Amino acid sequence: MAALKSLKSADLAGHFTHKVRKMESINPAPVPVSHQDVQAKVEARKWFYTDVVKEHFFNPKNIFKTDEEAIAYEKEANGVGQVGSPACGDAMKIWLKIDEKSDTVKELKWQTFGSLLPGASIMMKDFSTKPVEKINIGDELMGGDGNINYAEEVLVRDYSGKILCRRSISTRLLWKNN
Amino acid sequence: MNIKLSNKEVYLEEVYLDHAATTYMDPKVKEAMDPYFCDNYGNPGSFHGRGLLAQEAIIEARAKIAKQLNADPSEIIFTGSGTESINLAIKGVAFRKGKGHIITQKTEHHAVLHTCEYLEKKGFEVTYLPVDDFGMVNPEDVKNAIKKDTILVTIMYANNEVGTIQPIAEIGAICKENNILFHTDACQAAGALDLDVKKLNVDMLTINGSKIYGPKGVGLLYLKKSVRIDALIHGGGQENNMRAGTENVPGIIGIIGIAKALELAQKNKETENARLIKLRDRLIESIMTTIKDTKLNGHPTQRLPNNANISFLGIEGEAMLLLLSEYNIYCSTGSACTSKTLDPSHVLVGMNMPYELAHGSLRFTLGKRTTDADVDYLLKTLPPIITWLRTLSPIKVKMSEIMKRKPVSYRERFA
Repeated sequence: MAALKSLKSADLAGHFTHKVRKMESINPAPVPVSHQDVQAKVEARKWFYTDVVKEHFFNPKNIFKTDEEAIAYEKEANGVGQVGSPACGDAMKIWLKIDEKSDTVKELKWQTFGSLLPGASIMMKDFSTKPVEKINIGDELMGGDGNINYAEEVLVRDYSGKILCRRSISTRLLWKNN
Repeated sequence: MNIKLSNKEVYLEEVYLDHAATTYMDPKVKEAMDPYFCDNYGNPGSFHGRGLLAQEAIIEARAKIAKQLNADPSEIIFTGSGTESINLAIKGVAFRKGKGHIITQKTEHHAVLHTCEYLEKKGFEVTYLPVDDFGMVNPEDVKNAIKKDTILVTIMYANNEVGTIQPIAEIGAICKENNILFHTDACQAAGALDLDVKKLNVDMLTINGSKIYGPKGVGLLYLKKSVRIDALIHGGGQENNMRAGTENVPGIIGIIGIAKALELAQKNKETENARLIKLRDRLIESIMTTIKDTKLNGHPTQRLPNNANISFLGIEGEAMLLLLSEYNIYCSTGSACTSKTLDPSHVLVGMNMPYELAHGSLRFTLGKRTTDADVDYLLKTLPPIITWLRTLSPIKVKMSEIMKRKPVSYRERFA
C-alpha cells in the first residue's frame, strides 16, 4: 500500500500506455479439481468488449488534456458537432479543422459521454483505422451507406434537442456560421 | 497480497465492492454442504435409510432457519432463488384470489415489477406507489391506496441499489388492520437487519442465499400458516405441495449454514454493522468532500450499513466501472440484473433524479472481507479517474442548474 503513488489525472492517459495486462497475473491460482471438464474457469476474460475497443478506451487519441484547451480549440475549429443526449446515456462532441483546398480533415478532437448507439457507430468505425489527417469529408466520415438525412439529423442537435446550426459548406457536414 | 503490475503502481489484487450483486460463500457453509454431494446423497422423498438421512437433514435445516425468523418450521418453503420466492408469493396470492388489486412501489426489484406488469396483462390492477427523493415509501400512501378489492401489498425491506430501508413494520400494521396480505422482499436486508416476522408484521418474506454468504440457486419464502396461496410448480408434492421438485439438499444445507451465519450475525450484528457503517460513512464522506459535483443517492441515515450509492455529474457510470475494474476494484452502476441496458436505473429515476446524475451513479456495497485498506485504495484511485473522465466528457452542466430543473418523465423526453 505504501508504494501506491497518489494518481494524478494528467498522467492517467500515459498510465494506460502499458499494454493490456496479462490476465494470469491478476487472477487467483487455478483451484485444483478432480476432472478437467469441470475445472473452474478462472482464466475467463475480464473485459466485455472487443480488444479494439479496449485499446481505444485506455489509450484514446485526439483528446483534450484540459477543459481550457477545449474552449480555446472551439474558437479555432472550422466545425463543431454534437450527437446524443445525457438523457439517453450517450453523447459525443467533435471538433474539426479542415483544409478546404484539399477537402480533408487536418485535425480532429472529440469528447464523449457514455457509449454511442449502434446507428451512430458509422462515425466511429473509420476513426479507429485511419489517421485523422487522411479522413476525407465526402465519404469516410459518414461510412458506407451515405445516409445524409440521418447524418444531418444526428449531427446538428445538442443534447437538449436544440438545433446547433443549419448551414452546410460541404456536402455532408454542417458548419459554424463563419 | 499486493502485486506489481507495472513499475509505476501497486495494485491491490481484488477490492470487491459489489456485495449487493452476490457474495462469496462462507468457507464454513461450503464445509457444511460438502457431505451432501457425494456421501449423503439421498432423495429426501425416499423411504429407505439413505433417503431418511437426507430428510432428517432438511427437517433440521427448516427448524433452524424458522427459529431465526421467529416462525414455525412448516412456514418455510425452500425455492430456487429470491426471484422464484417473489414470483411464488405474488402470483400465488393473485392466482388464488383470481382477481383484485395489488399495491407495490416504483423502486422495487424487477422480480417484483415485472411480475406485477405480467399480472396487469392478466387483468389484475396494480398501483405503483411513488417514493420520496430518498427512495422512501410513505406508509400513509399505502393506507390511501388501499381499495375494497386490494389483495396484496408487496414492498421491499431494503432497496438493492440505494439501500434505503422501508418502514416495513408500519406498513405491515396497516395491512393487518385492513386484513390485506403483506409480502416483503428481504433479499438485501437479510444480512444486516432484524428478520423477526412477527415484529415486522409480514405474511410473506423472501430471502436469497447468494446475498448472505450462502450458495447461489437457493431461496426461501416464509409463508404464514393461515395464508393460502396457489403453487406455481406442480409435481411430487415437495415443500408441503407449494414447490414441487426434488429438494436441493446441499443448497438447503447451505441455508442451514446461513442460518448459523445469521445466528452469529445476530450476535455480532451490532459490531459488524458498526464496522460497516464506519467504513461506509468514511467512504461516502471522503468521496463527497474530495470530488466536487457528487450526490449521495438514497437515505442519509435509513440505509443499509454496507451501501454507498453516489452519482458523479457529467460522466457515465459504465466508463467509471470499467476503469475501476482495470484497477481491480469491482463495483456496479446499479443492479447487476440491468447493467447491460442503456436506460438509467428505474430506482434513481423513480426518486426524481435528473438524468445526468442517474447515468453517473456508482454503487459500492461492502461486506465481510472489506477492510480499511480497500477503502483507502478506492479513495486514492477514484478521484483521478473522475477528473480524467470529466475532461473527456462534452457534458458541462452545473450541479445547481441540474437540481433546479423540473424532472421529466421517460415519455416526455422523447415527445
